Amino acid sequence: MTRHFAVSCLVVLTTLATGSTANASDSLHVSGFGTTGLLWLDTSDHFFNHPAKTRGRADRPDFDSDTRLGIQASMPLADRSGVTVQALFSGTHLRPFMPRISWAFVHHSPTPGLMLRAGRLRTPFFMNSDSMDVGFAHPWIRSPVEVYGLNPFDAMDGIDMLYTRRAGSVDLEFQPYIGHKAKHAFPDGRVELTRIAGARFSFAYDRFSAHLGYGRGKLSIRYGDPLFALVASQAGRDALSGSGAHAGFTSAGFEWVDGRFQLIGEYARRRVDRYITDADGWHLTGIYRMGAVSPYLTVARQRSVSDAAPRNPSISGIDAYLASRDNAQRSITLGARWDLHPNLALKGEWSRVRVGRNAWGAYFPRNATGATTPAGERIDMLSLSLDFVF
Amino acid sequence: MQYARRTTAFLFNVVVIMVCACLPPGALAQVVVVTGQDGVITQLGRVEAEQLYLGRLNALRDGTPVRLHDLPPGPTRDSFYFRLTGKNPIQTRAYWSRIVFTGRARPPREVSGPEQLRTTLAADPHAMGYLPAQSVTADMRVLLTLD
Repeated sequence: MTRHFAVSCLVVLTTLATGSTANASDSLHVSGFGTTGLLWLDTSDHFFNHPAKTRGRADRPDFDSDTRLGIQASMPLADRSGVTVQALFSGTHLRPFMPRISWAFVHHSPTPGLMLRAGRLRTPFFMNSDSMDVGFAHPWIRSPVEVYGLNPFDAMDGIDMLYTRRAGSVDLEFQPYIGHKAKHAFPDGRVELTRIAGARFSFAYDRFSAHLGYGRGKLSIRYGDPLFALVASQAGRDALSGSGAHAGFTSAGFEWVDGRFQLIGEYARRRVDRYITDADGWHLTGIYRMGAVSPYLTVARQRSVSDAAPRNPSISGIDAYLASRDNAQRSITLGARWDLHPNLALKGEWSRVRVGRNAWGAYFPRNATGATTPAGERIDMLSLSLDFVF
Repeated sequence: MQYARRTTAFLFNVVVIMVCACLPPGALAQVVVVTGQDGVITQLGRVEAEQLYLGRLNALRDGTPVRLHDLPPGPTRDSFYFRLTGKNPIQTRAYWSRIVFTGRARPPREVSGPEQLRTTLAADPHAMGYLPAQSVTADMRVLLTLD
């Protein structure tokens, strides 16, 4: 149903876009962004494993965790319509710099301030979800993992509407969307979200802006790792994985900015009725601008509200299984961004992370069957990055 | 030798950019928003200009298409954005990178300077840009003055 509706909308938009009087003097516009990043951990037992970008292993120092390149091409089809495609090259569990299409849509603006889009879109569940790969747009090297690790679905196929309006001295933006499918593959499995529907709302007044978002869908997940095999042989596969689960993603965030200070905060929650944890995450970031250099401090936390499966003590390996699917951790990060050129920013940050006692946080043990896991560990991370746009 | 000269030039540029970023961008005379004398845009409110240059509107409120232009990075551009939107150059660039790479809007087209802007405005009735007030010529229409 959703799929048919999305396809119909794509056809209608394409027709509108190509049918209008083609009076566009602008032609193809190509631009891009990228990050070259290096990451060191103070331990060789684990590697950094962003829950939304799961990987199989990592080198030391870790080069492809934060390194990526995005190329975008956009072309007007008429004065009020156009097409935009963005390819993202970044590390996945399959190989470093695996290319994928992060955006590919046709858009049409029936009136100024209103844009309809259909195609591949980013899932806008959280405040910066649609721009989290654009390092240049943000103060940090990576958006706080305690919040942005809650949502593994970075892109969906669907339609959305961007409606912006000025009311008095307040700028409003409303973005409802529906999606046919979003998916994410990890080394031993995959997760899918279908029948996606949601909306985000934001407003900006003077130096203050705020965001509210909610999105939901039907979730299915398949695991194939050794811990899953061990527990599934006792509890049954259907108790741990399958389809028909319901997932919801909620977030509320704000930003306050003046010439010198900037404060950003966000709270996000994930609710899933089975297979993966219910979890909440938040962060608070303070930034102080000194000319081209902007030091920042971030405190962040993710906690789990429920386990990924019932904690039945008679099942061998259940504690390790649940910990491996729990990303609870808290962190404090001190860093700085230096804008050394209009299109270039150098960043460095140090994070001290405390992984939850019964969780693996945003880390994965190098030897997954060994006795040393990230659970309860204190991990220091040092990251350097060069962000650019062109 | 040439390498050392280039390195010195690069470091000089970096220092200039840092110093410029520290200075309040208001130390310049008036900046005006302009279109061609024969252009279709006859009036423009300050709020409308702000919304256009922040990518929140992709045309005038009455539906008239607009093609925005930016001067190259420098004091006039920094002053224009600061006066119109309250954002400093670093905030402006970070903001626009988010707008562009989330598919919301295309950035204003960058011209090489006031002279190229003048010829563009003369050739395209939907073109709009900004200049220091003293660079306005007779074939331009001033839509908005930013003190």
